[in-house]
Amino acid sequence: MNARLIVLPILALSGFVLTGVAVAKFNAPPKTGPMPISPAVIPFPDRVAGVGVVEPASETILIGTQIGGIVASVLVKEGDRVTKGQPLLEIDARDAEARLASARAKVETAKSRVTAAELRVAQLVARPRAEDLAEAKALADAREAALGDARGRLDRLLKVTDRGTTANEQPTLEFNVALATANLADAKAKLARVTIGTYPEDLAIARSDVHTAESELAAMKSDLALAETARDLLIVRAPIDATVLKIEARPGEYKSAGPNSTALMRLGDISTLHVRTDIDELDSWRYDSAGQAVASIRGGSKLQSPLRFVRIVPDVAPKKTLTGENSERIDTRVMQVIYAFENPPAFMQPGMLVDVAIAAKPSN
Amino acid sequence: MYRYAIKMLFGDSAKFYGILLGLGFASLLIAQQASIFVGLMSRTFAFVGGVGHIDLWVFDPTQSFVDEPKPLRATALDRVRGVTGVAWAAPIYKGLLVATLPDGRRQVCNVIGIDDDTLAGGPAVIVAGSLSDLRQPDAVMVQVESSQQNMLFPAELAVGAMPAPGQVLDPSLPKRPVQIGDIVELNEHRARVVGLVKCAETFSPGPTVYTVYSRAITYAPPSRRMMSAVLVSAAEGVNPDALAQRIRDETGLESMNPWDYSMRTLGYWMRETGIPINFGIAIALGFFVGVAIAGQMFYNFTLDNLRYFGAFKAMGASSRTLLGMVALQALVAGVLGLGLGLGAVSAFGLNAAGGKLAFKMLWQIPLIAAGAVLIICIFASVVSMWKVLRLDPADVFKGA
Repeated sequence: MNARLIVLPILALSGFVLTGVAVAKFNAPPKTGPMPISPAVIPFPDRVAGVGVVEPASETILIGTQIGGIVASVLVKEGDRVTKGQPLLEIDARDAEARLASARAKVETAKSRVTAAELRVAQLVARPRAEDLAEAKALADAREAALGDARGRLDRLLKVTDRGTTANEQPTLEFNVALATANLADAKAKLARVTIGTYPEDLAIARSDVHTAESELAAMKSDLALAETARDLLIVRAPIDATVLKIEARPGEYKSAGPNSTALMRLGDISTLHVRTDIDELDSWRYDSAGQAVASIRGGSKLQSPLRFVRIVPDVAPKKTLTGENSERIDTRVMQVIYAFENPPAFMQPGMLVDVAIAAKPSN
Repeated sequence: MYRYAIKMLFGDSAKFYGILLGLGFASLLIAQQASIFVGLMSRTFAFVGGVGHIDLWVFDPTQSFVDEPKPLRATALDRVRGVTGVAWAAPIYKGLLVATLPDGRRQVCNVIGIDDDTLAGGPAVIVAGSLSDLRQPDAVMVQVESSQQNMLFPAELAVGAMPAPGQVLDPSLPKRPVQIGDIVELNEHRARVVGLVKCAETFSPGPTVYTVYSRAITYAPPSRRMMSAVLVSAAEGVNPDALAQRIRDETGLESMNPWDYSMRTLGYWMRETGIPINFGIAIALGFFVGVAIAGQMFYNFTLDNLRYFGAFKAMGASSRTLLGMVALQALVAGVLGLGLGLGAVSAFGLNAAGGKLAFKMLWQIPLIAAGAVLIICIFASVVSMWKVLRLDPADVFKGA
């Protein structure tokens, strides 16, 4: 009985002690995870926030080609600074070169045709030539002499009274006179024609031939210009002074022209970086473009970079995600505001996401 | 005189043990069932408690408990960040996804996506690895030493290895726990284990898998809304409750401090499930068993000892003294029984809790058990006192 008097209270007491231990253990606050890495403090309390994507001041230019074809050579590297008009990439040009050669040959042919026609005109204008006149005059003189001779023979016959057997010669001599007369007339006509030189009609025809040949030459020249342009279009050039951001064409790839084609490369002027910031339309009434703005760098950094207002995109559109999700999920409409980095950190690249805070009107 | 009362009590060992058993059993049943109930219910909101170092949760106003999938729009984060008084805000994803293990078994996992930048909402204890490893490609951290089904890999498969093409692993082969470097498929996406963690046991089964938010939403099936909640840290000097009100007013979203959110979650389970009724019945049974056994035993004990009380009365003891003796006996039996019962519960809880057993002995529970024992003792002693008071000393000496 004595043992019971001692043991039981001790047991009960230890029970209470154990209960105390258990209560202490089970009432401890729950274990929590490690301290979050708090981002830098935004220096203004009233603000609107949005996610921004860094982009070149020129926005990103998706370089396309006007003519589809196989890429022959890429003339720049990613990161290169290019000037306006600098060739970036060449598309296979063998076909265009052949057409160009053909067009050049045709121009040469047309040119020589023009020359020939012009020479013909010069030839006509140069008539009558002195030699031709002399020749015709000499002929006329000779014919005249021949006529005198024939007349003399006939006169002499007619003066003979006793004609005898020669009486039969009279018709022959008369014929000779007539022939000589006709020959003289022929020579005189020839002389007249040579003296005139070129008839105006003939000259007009020759001149018109020149005109036709010249027109043909002009047509061939424009064909050549066309071929030259077609050749030149195979060289893709930089539209502005910019930096090559990304090359998406490799020699041997087929790149097509048209609205659904993929870009050959992406260019942008990154001398100034912009931040395209999405602001929920429900916050737009609080937004103030004059408000101070900062971009916070992601990834546990305390870095903040001040921003300068550039413009509001005057088109509130469904939110196209800027959060890097695997698929686009549109569930709200956002106002896009463009800001420029005053002094971007060196590592800042187009396409990065930053958290933007803009000082705003206090809400109510 | 009171010494005799104690002697009387300890003297009748059969009845004395009976009383102790009844009282001890009653306090044991009450405290143990209550502790298990509290433990089970606290698991419903354990996740909220495990996310430390933040001031507010922001979630859908219709969300009634933390596991309910009612995600927010992506811009909700920006809107919350725009509320005056918010120092910073971080998104969090919480959802159940199916993991496929190399041997083809499938396991539902509780996937938590914590903010890529702040890593807010990370696990309570990191057993191996570093939280910033989560920023590596395909990286996840897996809960180990959990009461829930652990993620188990086939023992014959080396760490990080995948079954060779055509190799079929028998799911009944021996298993090993998950290790750093293991590859698992989460909802058809590759996931690489870069760390092992311990975190609060939750109500939903399956191991908890931590990853960063941006990756969690690629693991999750596509949906227009993905963000489960926004975690908010108030700026210095800002009252969190006032800030919560401001967030409610400005964004139309619900905002609560972790404790209120826990209580909202708890309220849902208390209202909408049968758990409180089931446990309530068990606790009530414990109480009535205590009343029945201890009360009846004590009454019998008093009856048996009536002659001693009669003798004391005949010797001139006042009724007040006799009642004091009965009360003392009840009190001593009660304290001893309570101590033994609570001791047993505590020993059990300290040994078994944290495993599959949900056990949480709040400081109120021993007090409730003590109160119940007190009521039983009062009940038993009142019945006995009535007998003692009406006792005529002459009766004691009259007959055997």
